[in-house]
Amino acid sequence: MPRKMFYVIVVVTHIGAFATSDVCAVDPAVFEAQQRRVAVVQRIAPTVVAIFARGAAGSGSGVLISADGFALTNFHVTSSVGAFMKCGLNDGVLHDAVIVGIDPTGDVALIKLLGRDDFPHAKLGDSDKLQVGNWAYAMGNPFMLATNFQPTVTFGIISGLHRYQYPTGTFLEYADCIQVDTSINPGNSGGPLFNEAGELIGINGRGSFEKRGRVNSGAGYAISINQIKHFMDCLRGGRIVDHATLGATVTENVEGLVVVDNILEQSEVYRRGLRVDDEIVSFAGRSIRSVNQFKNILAIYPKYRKLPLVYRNEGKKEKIYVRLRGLHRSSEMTPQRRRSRTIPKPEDPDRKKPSNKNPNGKDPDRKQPNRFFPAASNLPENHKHLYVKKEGFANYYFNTLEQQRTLTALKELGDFSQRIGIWSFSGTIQAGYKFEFTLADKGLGLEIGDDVYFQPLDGSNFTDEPERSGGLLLALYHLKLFLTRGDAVFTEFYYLGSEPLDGHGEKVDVIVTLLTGVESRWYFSRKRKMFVGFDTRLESDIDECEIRFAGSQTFDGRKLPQQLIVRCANRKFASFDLETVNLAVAPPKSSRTDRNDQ
Amino acid sequence: MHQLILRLTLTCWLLSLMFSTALNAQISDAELEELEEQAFKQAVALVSQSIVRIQTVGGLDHVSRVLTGTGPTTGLAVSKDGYIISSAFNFISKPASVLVTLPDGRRFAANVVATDRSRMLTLLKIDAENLIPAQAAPKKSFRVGQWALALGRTYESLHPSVSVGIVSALNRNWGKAVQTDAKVSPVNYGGPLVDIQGRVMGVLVPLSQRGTNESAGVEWYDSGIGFAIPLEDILATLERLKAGQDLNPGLMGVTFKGHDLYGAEPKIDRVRYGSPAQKAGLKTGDIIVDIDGRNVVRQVQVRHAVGNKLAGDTISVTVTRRNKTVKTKMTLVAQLQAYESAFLGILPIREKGNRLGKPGVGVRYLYPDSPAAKAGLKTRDRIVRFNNSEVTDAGMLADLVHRLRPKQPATLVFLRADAATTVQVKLANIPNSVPGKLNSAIIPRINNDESSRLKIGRFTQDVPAYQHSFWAYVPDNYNADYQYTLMVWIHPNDDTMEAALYKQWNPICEQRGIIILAPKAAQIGGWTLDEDKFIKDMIEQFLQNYSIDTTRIFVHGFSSGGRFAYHLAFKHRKLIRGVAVAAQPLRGRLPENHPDYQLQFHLVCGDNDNLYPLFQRTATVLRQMKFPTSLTTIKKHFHTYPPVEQVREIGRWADTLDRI
Amino acid sequence: MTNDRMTTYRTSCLPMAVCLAMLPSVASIQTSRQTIRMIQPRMVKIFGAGGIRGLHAYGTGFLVSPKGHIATVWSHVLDADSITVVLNDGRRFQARVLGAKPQLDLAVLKLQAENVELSYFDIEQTASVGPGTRILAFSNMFNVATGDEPVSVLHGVIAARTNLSTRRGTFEIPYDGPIYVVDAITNNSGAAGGVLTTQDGQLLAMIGKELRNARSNTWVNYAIPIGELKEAIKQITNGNFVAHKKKPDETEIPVRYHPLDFGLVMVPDVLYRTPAYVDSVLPNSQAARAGLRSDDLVLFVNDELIQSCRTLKVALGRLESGDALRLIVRRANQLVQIKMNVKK
Repeated sequence: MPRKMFYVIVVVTHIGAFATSDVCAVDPAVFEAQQRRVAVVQRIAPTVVAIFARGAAGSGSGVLISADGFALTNFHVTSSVGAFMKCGLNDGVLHDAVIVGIDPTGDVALIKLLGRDDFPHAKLGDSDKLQVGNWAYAMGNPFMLATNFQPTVTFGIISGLHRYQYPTGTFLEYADCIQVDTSINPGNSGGPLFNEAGELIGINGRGSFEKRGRVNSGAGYAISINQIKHFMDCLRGGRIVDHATLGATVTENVEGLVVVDNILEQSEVYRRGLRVDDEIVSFAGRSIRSVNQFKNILAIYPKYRKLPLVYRNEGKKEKIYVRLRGLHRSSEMTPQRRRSRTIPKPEDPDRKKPSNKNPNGKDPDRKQPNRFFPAASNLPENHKHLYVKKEGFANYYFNTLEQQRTLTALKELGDFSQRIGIWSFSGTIQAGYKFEFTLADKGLGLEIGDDVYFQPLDGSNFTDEPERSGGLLLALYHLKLFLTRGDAVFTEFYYLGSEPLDGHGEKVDVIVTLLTGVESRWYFSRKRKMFVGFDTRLESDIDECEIRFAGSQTFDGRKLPQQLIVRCANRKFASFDLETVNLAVAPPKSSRTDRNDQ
Repeated sequence: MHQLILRLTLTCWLLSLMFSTALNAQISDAELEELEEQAFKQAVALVSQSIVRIQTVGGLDHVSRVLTGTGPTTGLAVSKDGYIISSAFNFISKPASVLVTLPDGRRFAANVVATDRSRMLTLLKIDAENLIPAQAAPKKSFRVGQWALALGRTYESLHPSVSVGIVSALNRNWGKAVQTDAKVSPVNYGGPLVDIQGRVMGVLVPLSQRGTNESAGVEWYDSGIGFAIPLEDILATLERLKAGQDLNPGLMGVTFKGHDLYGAEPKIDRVRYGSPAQKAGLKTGDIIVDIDGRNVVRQVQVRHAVGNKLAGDTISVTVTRRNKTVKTKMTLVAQLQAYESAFLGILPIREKGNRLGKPGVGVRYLYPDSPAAKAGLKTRDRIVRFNNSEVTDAGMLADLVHRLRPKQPATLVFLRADAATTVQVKLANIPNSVPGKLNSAIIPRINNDESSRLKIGRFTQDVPAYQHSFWAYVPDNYNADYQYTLMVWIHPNDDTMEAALYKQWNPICEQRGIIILAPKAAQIGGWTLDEDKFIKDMIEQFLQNYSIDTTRIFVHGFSSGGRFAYHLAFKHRKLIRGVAVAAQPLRGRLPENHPDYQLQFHLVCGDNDNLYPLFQRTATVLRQMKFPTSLTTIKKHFHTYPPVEQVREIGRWADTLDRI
Repeated sequence: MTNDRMTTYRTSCLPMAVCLAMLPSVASIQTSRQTIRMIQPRMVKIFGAGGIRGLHAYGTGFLVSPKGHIATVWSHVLDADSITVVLNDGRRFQARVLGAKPQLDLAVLKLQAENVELSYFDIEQTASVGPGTRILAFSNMFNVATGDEPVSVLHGVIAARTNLSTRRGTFEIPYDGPIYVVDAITNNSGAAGGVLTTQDGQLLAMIGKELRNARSNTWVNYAIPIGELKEAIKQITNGNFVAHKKKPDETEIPVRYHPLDFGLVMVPDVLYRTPAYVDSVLPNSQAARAGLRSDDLVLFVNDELIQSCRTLKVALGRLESGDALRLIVRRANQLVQIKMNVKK
């Protein structure tokens, strides 16, 4: 009450004051806050992109995140505009842009604007630091209002965090997302959500529109920037990035604990010891108190990512590292044979229906039957070379770039290309035993003390030799192939992205190779630009042989590690200290045949 | 006592405004939120004296099938002597009487003085003195991100209603409006958008680039997408409004090549006859580079440069013509002379892709006394040149002719038995009649199994994506080598008339090669406005599957179905070329006849139908707007579907949609 | 409280020195973020009947006692055998309807659980505020908050304080008392039963059901002031169950008077909204004596706007003998007032 009275008086006094000046006397603090906001908007507006399909057929929004033109938007925006698009910036200039990578499940796409190397770009924020009630700006091109490429700026608060939104069809799952009351409307899709300081905290992609058709009704949803960070390098690699599953599903039991209710026996997590009814304590370092939290965490990491998991089995706590499996079969990720799966039935009363629509309206599943391989029709002549079509990739051109960048580290080691003869390494293992590896084209051998292990290469099955090493012999053979023949010999050879080594180590770039069903992942330290190790898996759903390098020494001009540390199934197998190494050039006979071949 | 303290503190406060900013660095978030709240309330208190309540009495209940609100609305005093500006939306129902209630409770009868159709504003006058006019915030002070308060006076309360937001963008809707995320709706249309100091930035209106009528943009109410017309701009034209002069958007009269607003350069395709552009001497092929000193490189920029200009405004336009620069001035107009196409008087022979490789365009039928007939052409002659450009197909000839006007002369060359003849013709108007007799075009016999994969005959199909269904009829002798006419049947409310229609049309379809597409309204009771999307998609699907001539797609409706047929035709002009309506007059404002998307009409009605008089007026209006329109009166016929004779006539009319 | 406000206010407007001197009292107001953390634990999500024919099966409520009394809106969600209530921290309980007052659109639930730790609103501590006041809205709208996720929070200001009853025929809900209209999109599916607070956490009102304004054809975002609900909530929690019965419809009111009873012949009512023009006035009728003339346009009957002949008939029909009848008519451009008395 007193408050009200007092308010009235203020007004009265002021109306008095108006006689002299016809504006309100406003506290400078208010002006300054306003000025700060205006300044922030002016600073970040130039990073906002208005995306148009050619001929202004469709439209959406995006945001620049690097000076050389990389920009984020929604997958469901790019899927409707094609491999190349037109992007307007608020300086009035229209740029060509090309698709780079897509994450259909997370509804994220990375594109690259062309024509400048000094684009204004947004600073990435930390969406885990957000609190409900924080102010947030949304910017973009709702209802295609930005005819002069000036974005629409709306201002509101964070209404909720770590929200989970069920997928529409197989894709477009909004997990761990940010809910805002900032007005999000059709066309805001792909546009940035900024915090009060003007840092990018999310990509707007959805709203609860059921009430009034295609108009904001108080709830908009943004994909958190921290989720996107996990995918960023995969996207830069021009890939169609898949999300992940653990191989186990969870439920809330009567005590409200989150426990395993279903587990795949071929899954790595099963081999690590997780069983039905075990309690999930924490996952990726976040403690788990609800099924949604579990889903949220799972959904913010790409396929293959290695994560720590803490579970409790009969009171006993176990911490393990597990590499996540793909959420979709590769057939699902390629358009022609894509099956649309039904949405999982939510199990508890406390749930939501997947009723939300993405703000650019079109349900991509229906409108864009073949949206992974955009129409090549719209390639502008001068930029054609920036788009290379390849199954499994949004734009393979960018993968080749990342391969080149990553593989420069190999040149450091010297030229192995001529050393295609027999390789032999010898030295001692910790236990003091002597060892010798022999890698020939006919077969692979290892002697440790009196024990001998052999893996023939006559087409017979690959075996776990030596036992419990995960196939160390074959792994070293793949190393030889990788160093001597490079991408020429493998049936698949591509840049995967980056990840923390072994789930907790330094950031490494990952190259994946495939040959006769044997998959290897090659790790390169991003910071030290060094080849630091690799994993080789004889066949899917068995534990892989993990080899890490330590130290470095030179044998006739070629750098090799001092030590190979070999692990398998979360256990150390052995570490080999290399003392003598012999890398033979091609034997004369075969070299003659070589000549004949030429 | 309390009061005293407060007055003191207040003076301190006012003084403290002069203090340096160092003071505020210390202010906590909580305090800031509090101070901002106080600032909102002051701003409202300051403007509230200029905000009036408007009530209307009588008027239409429906406007363009949107139920109009009857609630009180808002206006803003702009002069001491009783002028009040408001949103045109508030008068959409053409009320019989308007009442204004001032903040002090006094009531006045108000008169509508004038309307601004460009920015959707209405000026009212009441016989009152000493109103407190709103004070305008200078446009140059507007900043994206600043506070913006949307005020209205529709609730019965001392205070105006308030919504607080920020300025979202400037120069929206072709430079007309400032955009805000404050909640804007019928609750405050006509009210002010106010800055934190209580100055009026603009007057709230619904707006949308899509529509131009009073209700366009209403669908976005409270969405965080709101618009206000800057008060400075309003005051700049206030005298013209006070003088009772309605204001209209200014038109140049040009169309551009390639309808790509953002991608394509503003290269002039058509210069409308009698338009300011023509008077200024602009020519097809000119590229506009500058308007009023604003350099333009994209079509969309031209719209920005001209969008906020009014009829009567003069603009300077610079174009490049064959790498010469030409500078001109023109005075924009409210309305362009209705477009009217010239007419040569032939029906072209239908040769899909002209695969026989014959030169030019063959004559299938000659209109009696048409320019072509007078020039001595005969059927099966082949027109190979028209005004010294070579003619390769019917579409090209049509375009050449459509770019000319009736009574203009033209030279054409035609072949007869390989002998070329050159003749002069004086082009005519497209006749408003249907040939009494017209042989059907030759439909080649089926000689390929390609068509067999398609559904033939009469069939019904559900379209789950839309929860809709349609029935269709494809002539049993369908042949993909021939291009068919597509008739979209729009059934009247409560009755699809499927059986009856099929019975009457089946022979006509066989004879003249017509495919029927008959969508069904989701509610059989009647069509809703947005069902056009479904029909559009169905037509496009048919265009993909079947061999259809895009110049011969027409909608056909009877009675209440006709209303939706008109709506469809005007909404999807890129797709639909003809409208044949029985017993349903056309209501509401008409869009003009667009040279790029021409429409032809055929109207049938019984003289005993009590809609008949209105129906005749429809024909008159359409003809005034230069839409080719044939009207057929059925003697002693009531409000029922036409008998077979008149239906056959519709068939003949449809068969002439490709006339040149 | 009063003094706090005053000092707070003063500090914000006096120069630095004073400001610092007052810091303690400054600290007593909190940011909206602090408020949100304070309010969230008092909100609950309610799950009950529905889930079919577009009826949502979820809603919102707020705790009003340490014993687990929950105030919420009276809706279809509640007519289920078992109602599940989920607290802010994810704890889940069964609850039963203790009582309801449909006239207020109010129901009170009781948790089926003894001695559990609960934070709650003190409904005695409520505020009353004017337009422009900043508010926070808490609700389980669209049921986006699951498990132990806190409910959604919207920000906005009070747009208006108005009265539903003054706008007869505009709204179709039983409640016809005063309401707060807000400029946030608060009234969404599942949001009814949520609360509005000031940004420093004072309880203001309960968010109502989704509602269309029949006159402007727009959705209204409104809430019912706690002041209106307080007594009923107390009654029900104290166990005086209030049976809920529908209140009589407007339409059931008998039409007692017709224009002719006053000597008024109106123009024929042909359109949906025929303006209420007087066609003719019967000689020496009451209307004639009062000075009404033909072509007068009737605009108000006792301050109710008359938009058409139809509304005029309703307005006159509602009169009772002995009432004073004040008409305002438009004659040319003048508004003329006419007084009469309603006779037997």
